[in-house]
Amino acid sequence: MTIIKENPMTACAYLLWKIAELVPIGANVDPGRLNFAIYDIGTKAKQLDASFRRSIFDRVEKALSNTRTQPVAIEAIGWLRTYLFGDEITHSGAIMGPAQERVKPRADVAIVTVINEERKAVRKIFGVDHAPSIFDIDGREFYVSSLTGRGAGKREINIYITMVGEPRNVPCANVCRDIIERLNVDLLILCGIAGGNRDRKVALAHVVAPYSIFYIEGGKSHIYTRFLRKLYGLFGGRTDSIFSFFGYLLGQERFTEPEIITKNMLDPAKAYLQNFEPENGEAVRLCQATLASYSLDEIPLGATMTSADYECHRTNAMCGEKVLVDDGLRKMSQDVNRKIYAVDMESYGFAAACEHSHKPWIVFRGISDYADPKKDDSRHIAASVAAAATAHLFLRHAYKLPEERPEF
Amino acid sequence: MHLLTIPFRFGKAAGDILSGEMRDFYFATARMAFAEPSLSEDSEASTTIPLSFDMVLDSGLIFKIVEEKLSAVDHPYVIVDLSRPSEFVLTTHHVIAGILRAVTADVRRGHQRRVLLLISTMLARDDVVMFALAPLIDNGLLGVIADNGDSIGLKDWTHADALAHCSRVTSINIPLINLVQKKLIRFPGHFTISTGSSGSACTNFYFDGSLCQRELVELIDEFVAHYYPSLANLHILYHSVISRWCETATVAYCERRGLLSWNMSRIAPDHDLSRLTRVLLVLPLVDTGNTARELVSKIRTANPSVEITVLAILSTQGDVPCDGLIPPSPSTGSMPIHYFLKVMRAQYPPTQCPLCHAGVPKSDPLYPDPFTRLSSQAFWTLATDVGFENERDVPPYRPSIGQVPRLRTLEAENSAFLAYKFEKLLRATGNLPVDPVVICPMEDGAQAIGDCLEAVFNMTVIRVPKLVLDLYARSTNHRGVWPRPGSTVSETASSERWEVQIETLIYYRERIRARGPVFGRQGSNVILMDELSVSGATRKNLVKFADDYGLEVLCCVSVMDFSGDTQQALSLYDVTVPLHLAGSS
Repeated sequence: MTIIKENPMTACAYLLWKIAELVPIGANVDPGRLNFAIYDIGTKAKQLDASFRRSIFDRVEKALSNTRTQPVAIEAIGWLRTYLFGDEITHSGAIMGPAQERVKPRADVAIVTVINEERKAVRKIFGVDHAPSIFDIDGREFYVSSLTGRGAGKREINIYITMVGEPRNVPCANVCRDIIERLNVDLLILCGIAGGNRDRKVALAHVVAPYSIFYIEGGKSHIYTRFLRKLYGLFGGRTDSIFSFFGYLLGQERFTEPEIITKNMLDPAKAYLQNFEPENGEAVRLCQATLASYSLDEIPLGATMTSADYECHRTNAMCGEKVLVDDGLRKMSQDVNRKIYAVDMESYGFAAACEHSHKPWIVFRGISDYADPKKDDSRHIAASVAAAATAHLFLRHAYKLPEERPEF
Repeated sequence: MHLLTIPFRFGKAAGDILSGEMRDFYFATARMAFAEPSLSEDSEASTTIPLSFDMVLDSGLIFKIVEEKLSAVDHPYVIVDLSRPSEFVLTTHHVIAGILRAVTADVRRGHQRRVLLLISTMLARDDVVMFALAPLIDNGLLGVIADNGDSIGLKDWTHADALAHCSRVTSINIPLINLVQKKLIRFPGHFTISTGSSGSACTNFYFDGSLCQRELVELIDEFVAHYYPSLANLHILYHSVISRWCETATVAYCERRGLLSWNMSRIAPDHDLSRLTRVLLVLPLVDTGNTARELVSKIRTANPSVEITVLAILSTQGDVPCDGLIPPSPSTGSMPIHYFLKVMRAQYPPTQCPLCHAGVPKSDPLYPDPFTRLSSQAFWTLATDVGFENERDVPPYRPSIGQVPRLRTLEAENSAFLAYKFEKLLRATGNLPVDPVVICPMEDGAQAIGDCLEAVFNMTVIRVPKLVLDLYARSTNHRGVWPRPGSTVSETASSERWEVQIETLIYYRERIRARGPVFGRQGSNVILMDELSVSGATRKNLVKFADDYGLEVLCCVSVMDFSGDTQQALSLYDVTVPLHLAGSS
C-alpha cells in the first residue's frame, strides 16, 4: 500500500477559503481559530517552492486586510512571513527572491484555455467557478481543482486551470513553457473552441480531439505551395527526405518546406485518447447541467444550447495564424489531410511547447462555427462547455496517472 | 468442587484481567453443563490467554500452556473458552489439537476431569476435529457447547439450558447496536445526496457501514423476526445507489433466510411489483423522507393492498438515538419508518452550499477518503463540527498552544473514522504487524480511539495511566517488574490492567520466541499512540516506558502533531504552531 498524500496546493486552496470564511464582515473575529488556520496554511505552504509560497502569503495577507482582523492576526502573519521565507526577509521586511528552490508543486493536469468563455466553461465543469485563484505565475491566475471519483484505489487528479488571454500560437506556447517550468505537470490540455470542417460530419458543439496538428503557415511562400502541401499531407515527415533525394540528384538546394506537421502518437495521453469512448448520455448530462448554470445575459439569444447530438471526433486538426472566415478550411483539408476536422490558432504553439519539454498533450476543441462568412460568436459557450465536458470525461474515465500506468 | 477456567482470546497479543461478568458466565455455564451446583471459584484463574497469530499456528505451544494449567491444579472441572471475541473467532485445528493433546495427557496421568469446550459455532459432524474429539466425548470426559446453545457430549443439557446459554452469551457480548455505533464510519467531505425526484443536496458527511455489515445482518434478522413471525411471501426491497454496505448486508440477510431481494435503484421501470404482498423496504439512510415516500408510492401503485414496512439503517430524524420510529408524516408518505441509529449531518441545497461556493471538489462516496492521512478539508470539517477551545491540561514544562479543536469531543465522535485512518496510516507505512499492540496514555481521547481499534480491528490496546508514565520518565530503572524467568503469569502479583497486559505480552512473546523463529519481525513490537504531540514529552515517556519493558517500538503515532517535527512520529494531521505566540491568542 502506498502513501497517498494530499497535494499541498489543494490544501492551501481549501485553507485560503477557510481563512476567508473566518473573517466575517461586521462581526467579531475568533482570533484563536483564525490563528490556527494561519498556522495550518503555513505548514502546508512550507512544502511549496518560494514563488508559490509568496503567492499564498500574499493571498492570506489580502484576506486579512480587513481592519478588524489586522490587529488580531498581526503576530500570526508576522510568524507566517518568517516561517515561509526565513532568510529571504531583509531587515526592512521586504521579501527577496527565492533563496532556495523546493520541489515543484505536483500538478497532474494543467488545462490551458485561450479566451474567457473557455476558461469559464472549464471552471464550471471542474467545480471551481466560484473559487478564487490560488496562485499566479507572472500575473497569470491559476485555479486549482481536483477530480475524484475515478474508482476505488485511485487518487484524485489535481487540475490547474489557466487562461492565455490572447489568441495565436506564441502566447500559448509561452504559457505552456511557464507551466512546465514551474509545475510538476504530467499532462497539458488545451481546451476551447475551433472552426469545424463542414465537409466532414462535424456539427456545431461537437468536439474534436486531434491526434496530430498540421501547421499550415510555416516556412516560405512558394509557387508550388499547394502541390507541396499535398505531398506533406500524403507522406508527412518523409517528404523532407524525398526532397533531399531529388535535391541530391538534381544538385539543387533543398526545397523550403511550406508547412510543419506535428505528430505525436506515441505518448501515453494519445494512447488513452484512442481508448476514450465518451458516453453520449453522460456528456450531454454534464453539458446541459453546466449550460443551465449560465445566466440568460451570458447566452446570446438564438444560440443553440442543446448538446443532444454530442460527439467526440478523434482525428486531426489544423492550425494557422489567421482567423479563417472564407470557408478555406475545406479546400486546405483536401490539400493537406482529409482527416482535418477543425482549425484553430493556438494548438500548434501549445503542442510544440509540450513536445519540446517531452510532456504529453491533448487538445479538445468544441466546434463553434465553420470558419465561413457566417461565423459568429453565438455558439462560443456551448462549444466551450462541450470541450470542457469532454476533457472532464477523458480525465475521469480514460486518463491514468503516472503511478497507475505501465511503462511506455 | 473447584472449576479451572482457561479463557483463550483469539487475535490478541496480550492477556487481560478476566472481568467479573465473564467469571459469572463461566460459572453459570459450568454449573449447568456439569449439573454441579456446588462449583466454586478458582482464585488463580484471573487472566485471559492471548492467542496471537504465532500461537494459533503452534499446536505444541497450546498443548504446553494447557498442560501447565492442568498440572498446576487438581480441579475436577475445566472450562476452555475458544469463543471470544465472538466476531473474530475461527477455531483452528491447531488450537483444538493442542488442547486435546493436553487433555489426553492429563487422562493418561490418571485424572478423570470433565472438560467443557466453548466454541462459537458447532463443528460439522464429519469434521476431522470431531473425529478427534469423539473418543473423549464418548468417555464422558469432554463436552462442547456452541454460542447458539448446540451441544455435544452433555447428557443433561436440555433445550431450556440451550436457551439460557444463548441469553447469557448475548448478555456478555457487546450489544449489536453499540457495535454498529462503534464501527460506523462518518467520512467528512463534500458529498452530493439525492433528495428523491426533487433533486439533490450537498452534505459534509457520508456514513459508511462497511465495517459493521455483519452486525447489520444480525440486526435486520432480529428486526424481521420481531415484525414478521412468518417469512411466507415476504420480499425484501432495498434502495442502494451509493451505499454498497447496505446492499451487501441486506443481500446477505436474504441469502441467510432464503428470501428474494431487489435493489429498487436498479430494477427495470417495467418490473412487475404487483405480485408483492408483503414487503420490507430497507434504506441506508432516511433524511427528508422523499425517497422513502416515492418508493412506497411506487410499490403501492403496483399493488394497493401491499403490506409495507420501511426500515432505515440510519436516520437524521427521530427522537431516540437508536431503535427508533419516525412517525407518519406527509414527507414520509404517511408511513412510519423504523430506524436503527440516529445520525447527524448538515444538508444544503446546491445553491447555498458553502463548499460548492468555495470550489471544494465533490467527494466520491464509493471512495470517500483517498488520502492516507487526514486532508485539510477532512480535518477542518471535523474541527468545525466540534468547535475550538483553549488547550486543556497544559503540562507545566511548556506554554499553552492556545486554541485547538475540541480534541476529546472530536475523537469521541469520530473514533471509528480516526481508528480507520490510524489503521490505514500504519498499513501504508509498513508499521502494522500481524497482532498489533498499541500502547497509549489513559486519556479520554486516546481511549475512545483505542476502544475502536480494539472493537473494529481487534488490536490489543494497553492504556497506561499518565501518572505511571511520568513516574517512568523520572526514574532510571524499572526492569524489576519483569516476570521472573520461568515464572507463570498467575504468579505475578500485578493487579492493574495495563500491568497484566504488559506482563502477559512479554511472557507469551518470550514463549513463542523460545520455540523457534517467529513470523515477521522479531521482538515484542508495539505501536505508541498519543492524541496530541506538542513538545514530544509524552512520546518520549512512552518510548522510555516501552524501553524499560524491553519492548521494541515500531512507530509512534498521534492524531495531531503541533511540534513541526514529522520525522520522529507519524501523525494524522500536523500543524506547526509557534509556541511563543499561540498561548497569547
